[in-house]
Amino acid sequence: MIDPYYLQQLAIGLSLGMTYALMAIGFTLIFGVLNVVNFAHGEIYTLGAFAGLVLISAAAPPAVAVIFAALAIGALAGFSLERLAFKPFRRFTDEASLKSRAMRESTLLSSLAVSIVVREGLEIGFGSQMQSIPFAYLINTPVRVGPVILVTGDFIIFGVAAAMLVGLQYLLTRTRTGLAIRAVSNNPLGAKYVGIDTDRTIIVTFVVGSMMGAAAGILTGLYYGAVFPAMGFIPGIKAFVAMVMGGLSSIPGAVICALILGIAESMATTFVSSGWSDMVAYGFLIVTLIFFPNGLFGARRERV
Amino acid sequence: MTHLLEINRVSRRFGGVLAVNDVSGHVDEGELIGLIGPNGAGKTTLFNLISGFTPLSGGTVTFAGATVNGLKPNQVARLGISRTFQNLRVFPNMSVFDNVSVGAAGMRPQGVLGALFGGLTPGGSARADEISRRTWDALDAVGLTHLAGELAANLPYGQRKYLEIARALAMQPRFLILDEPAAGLNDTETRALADFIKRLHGRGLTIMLVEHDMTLVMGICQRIMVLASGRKIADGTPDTIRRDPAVLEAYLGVDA
Repeated sequence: MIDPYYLQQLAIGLSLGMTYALMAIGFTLIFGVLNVVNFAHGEIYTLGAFAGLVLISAAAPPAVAVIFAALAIGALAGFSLERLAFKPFRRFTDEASLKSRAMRESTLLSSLAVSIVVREGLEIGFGSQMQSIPFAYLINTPVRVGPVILVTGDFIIFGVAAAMLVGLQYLLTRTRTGLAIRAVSNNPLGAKYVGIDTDRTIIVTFVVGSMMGAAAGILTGLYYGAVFPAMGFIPGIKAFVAMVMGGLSSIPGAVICALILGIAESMATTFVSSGWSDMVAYGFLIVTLIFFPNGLFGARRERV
Repeated sequence: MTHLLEINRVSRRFGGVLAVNDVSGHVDEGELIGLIGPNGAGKTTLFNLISGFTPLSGGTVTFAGATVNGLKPNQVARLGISRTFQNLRVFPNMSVFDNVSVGAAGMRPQGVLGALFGGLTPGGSARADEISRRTWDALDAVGLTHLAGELAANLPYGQRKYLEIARALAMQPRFLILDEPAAGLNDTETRALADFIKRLHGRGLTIMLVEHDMTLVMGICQRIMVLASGRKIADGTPDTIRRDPAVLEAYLGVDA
């Protein structure tokens, strides 16, 4: 008989891993179409959480509306981010310039700049302290499942994230938009010549990825009851690690690695203080880079 | 009568080099036309000017009455000009079927919201059926139906060429440009390709063949344009081209 404690940590790890997975998908989608890392992705997460907080304090709507508000702000933020930090550096003249180093480096810096401006802007507006989410919105009512005690948030996070993953899979494999996203990430120039508007496709990719990041932000905010301007940094790094472990542009890979990461962290708190649990992700990153430079699943998996 | 494609005094300058210098020409509906020239003659550049890849430095290109200059490649594609690439640009990590259905889906311009939700609206299933039918038709035309579920990356080189042609056909183009389709093929494969191109042409498609392989071009094209050093030096039937002194000089470097 397994100690119920481990089952509980496993369940908590799964819901934690799901929030990493939502974040990692945003990274992975954008890396897929542009070959660049979006350093402002953590701030999208933060913006999602703040959008929820602002709506709660202004109107006290039902919780579902809070999540939809976060999704809407995420979509808007993704759109603006692409226009501000990525579009100006893109020159669609040939294959080389499309995924060139110069573009990678300039967008790396421009997205980092956006991330700093957003974080500092939120600090000016809200202060750098933690803002509490009103008690009525917290999703931490205990739920007893057999010998294990979980909270409602574990189920809600798992459920919402799973629904979004299924939705994403539907979008990518069953719709023309998904076909366009996959085509652009496979070969942007080929896609252009088959009539795909690459610019639009890239915007859509940012919008979809950012909606998932923002959802992760608000869900985590409601789960822990705290929202603060720097909250996106650590999850951003965890999601980045999951993307690298998953092979950079494989969505299934990123999701599986995000879950592994969440569970490993949650289990690790059994043995080390929770302050050290972040080391798990960094340890995974180092091991991956040394032993599996193509990611745990290699480069053979189907990309985005 | 007006021509399907009209190239009117087009030029393209790269820095100090005139890659295409004041070239004019036309393609009529239903023609199978060859574009040849020695290395560096400007074939690829001319081709890129037609397909919207490279902006013109001068001149105009019109297709079926519409001006092509200034359009982006995806807009040119929607006009009905479809192309394949010398160095293949299939989507390696997508299935053969999905590769072709990207062409069949005929990505119309749609807003961001349309792109997000357009594929999800009811009534889209008739479109989906249409896309799937066109995809199967195109796969059938190139004989890749049995490999529909395979990842494109797993296909051998020769089949990837046909896959790219299928993708172009699925767009139901009015004008198909093939960029050195015979490159890297052996004699048997080249002969099979020639038959295939003739079959496509027989179905009423207008085709331009940009080629190095003289026997292929001479064997199947009705008319041939010859470029050398960025200029058009000859335009005529294979027989006249074969005897044209300027062409012989450009290719063989002799005074004929």
